[in-house]
Amino acid sequence: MKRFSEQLHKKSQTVKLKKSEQADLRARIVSYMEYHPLPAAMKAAEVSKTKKATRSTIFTDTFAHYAIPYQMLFKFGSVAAVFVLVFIPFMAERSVPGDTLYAVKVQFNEEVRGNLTWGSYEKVEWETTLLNRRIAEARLLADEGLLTEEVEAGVAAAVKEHSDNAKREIEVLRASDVDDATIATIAFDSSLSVQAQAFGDEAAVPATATGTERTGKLISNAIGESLAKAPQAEIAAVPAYSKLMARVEQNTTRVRDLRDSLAGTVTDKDLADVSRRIEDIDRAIAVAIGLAAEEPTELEARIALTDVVVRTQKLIVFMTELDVREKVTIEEVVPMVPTSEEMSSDRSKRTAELTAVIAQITTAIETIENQAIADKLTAVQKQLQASLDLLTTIDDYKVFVVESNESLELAKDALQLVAQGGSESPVVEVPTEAVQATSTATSTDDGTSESTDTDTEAEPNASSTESVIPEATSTSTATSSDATATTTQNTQSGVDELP
Amino acid sequence: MAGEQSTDNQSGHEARFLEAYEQYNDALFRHACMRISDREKAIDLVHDTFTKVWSYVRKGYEIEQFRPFLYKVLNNLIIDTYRKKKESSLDALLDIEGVDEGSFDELSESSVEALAATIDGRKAFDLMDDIPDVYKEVLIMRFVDGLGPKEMSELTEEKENVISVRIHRGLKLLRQKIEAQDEFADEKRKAAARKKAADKKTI
Repeated sequence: MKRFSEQLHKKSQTVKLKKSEQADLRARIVSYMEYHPLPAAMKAAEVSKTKKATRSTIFTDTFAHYAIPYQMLFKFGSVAAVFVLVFIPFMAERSVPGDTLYAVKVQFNEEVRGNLTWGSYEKVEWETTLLNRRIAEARLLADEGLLTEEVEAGVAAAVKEHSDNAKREIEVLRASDVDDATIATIAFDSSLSVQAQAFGDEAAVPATATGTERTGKLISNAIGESLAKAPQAEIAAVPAYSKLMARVEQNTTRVRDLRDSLAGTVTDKDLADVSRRIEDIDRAIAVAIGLAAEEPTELEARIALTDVVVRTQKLIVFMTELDVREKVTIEEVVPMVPTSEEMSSDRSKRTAELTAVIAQITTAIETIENQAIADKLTAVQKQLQASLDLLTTIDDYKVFVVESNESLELAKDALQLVAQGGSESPVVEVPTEAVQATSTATSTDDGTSESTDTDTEAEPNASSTESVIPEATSTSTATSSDATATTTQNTQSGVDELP
Repeated sequence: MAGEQSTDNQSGHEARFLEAYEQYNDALFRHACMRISDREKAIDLVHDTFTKVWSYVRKGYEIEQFRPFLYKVLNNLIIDTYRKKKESSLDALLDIEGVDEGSFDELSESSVEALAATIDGRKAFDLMDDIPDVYKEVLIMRFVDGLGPKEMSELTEEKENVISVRIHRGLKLLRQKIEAQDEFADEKRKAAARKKAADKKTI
């Protein structure tokens, strides 16, 4: 039978569908299935049952296999990666101490950027930036009344830490390049001094009665300590001309970029002030280049460029730190430097003013009846005349301003004496323009303007009287021993005591 | 074979159905082709078989095993074809042939084997169309499709004994046909030889 069945079976296998027939038949059946699909309810049940069936066929964990949705994982993984690596760090940049994302800002954003910073000079710059950031955060919190003692202590510690880090990097830099280290020190010190200036003004404001708003004394002290630790002696070693010039070019380019970026966001006056400082810096650079052309004045050129670096650095900090701009004026940070025309004009104005006052005093001496006052005015007249002669011989504008200020103060007092001395004598008031010219000239005196004005206000006659009119001082001291003490009250009382 | 009640456990209907198609389309075609001896008609029958089964699936019935179910549907379609083609119904044919309980030899599997051993399978294949369909049906199921007695019984809705008798008688018929064919061939050959010898004498 086996033979029969084998033979029959083998023969029957010759009966089969051709490939084309098979494909055609399949197409017809599939088409039928498409036109007569399964009911939707059956399909839904089919899916759920299929899943259950798949799970139920797994008997042991050893042979269990799980479908990993790679596509979904990749899709959601990408979204999560973007969220974690872009969105959160971006949001964290706006955080301040106490915020949830502040740790991300300090321990992720800044760490990553810090690690991507190569070179000691760049690291010093980065530490300076971090220091500015910490101070800005503290100032922001203080403005909102949220600067607690704990936060302030933390910020002060951070300021100290960044300051120490910067100094450490400067020392590392010094081992390889002294000039770069000096320039880095100058830049760091300039930034710190601007912050100290801004924070100093802020700290001077007394705390409110509630005590919730802190003045940032701890931070101010930390900045002060950092400034005090600054290696001033090492700055004295003036860097090489080429390196200074390179830094100056970098800084001036950045200053110009910042000025352009500020256009439209600040007032025209503020922008004009910045432009004026840039012009001043350009002039100073031109002068330095001129000085460097000759060997004997090369050191002066380097010193001038060092000053330019300081000014540009301060200007950069002033423009980049919004809160600094709100606390201090540009005049306080980078005082204006007058041009030669302005200096010449100011000289003429001051000389003319002094000459006019001398003429008035001469007229008053002739008409005044009080002999004591007349004698005093005569002495003053001589003194002023001597000062006028001296001023014509002074070439240095700064010295000229200092000397002329003293003379004008004396002249002012003398005119008040004239006014008090006799009604018969005409009172000549100091022209408004002259006062303005004085203040302008004083303000150019590289930061000494405030002290000069303060001296004028608080000690109206003490210095000028003692230095310029020794006779008057001796007279007043002889006649009234307690008069000197009372002169500090106000100008009028000082004038009263002069005779 | 096929559940009679609707059930929710319809897992992978389309996949299972197409898998069954891939697996059995050739066998079904062979069965149909040998039964009706018409290639085009056999293809249509196979197509109709699958569409009917798919309709059954769509109604929510569960098919546990496709093979017997497909053969059952195909068998019914073939019977329908016979009924359309022949005036006399299959039942009438069966009545004529007579379906008795069968003798002991016809019911014995060993006798079937012994009988089959005397038949040339290749010749049997060629003579399959010459025997009645009731025998051809069971012989094809048994020796071509490889179905067991129980499966054939379910398909034909006959007792297993009846199936065995039909197989036995079918084989006997085939042997007779083969022997008759052989005798006819011998006589033909002898006649040819005689004619050849006569022609030689004439020459």
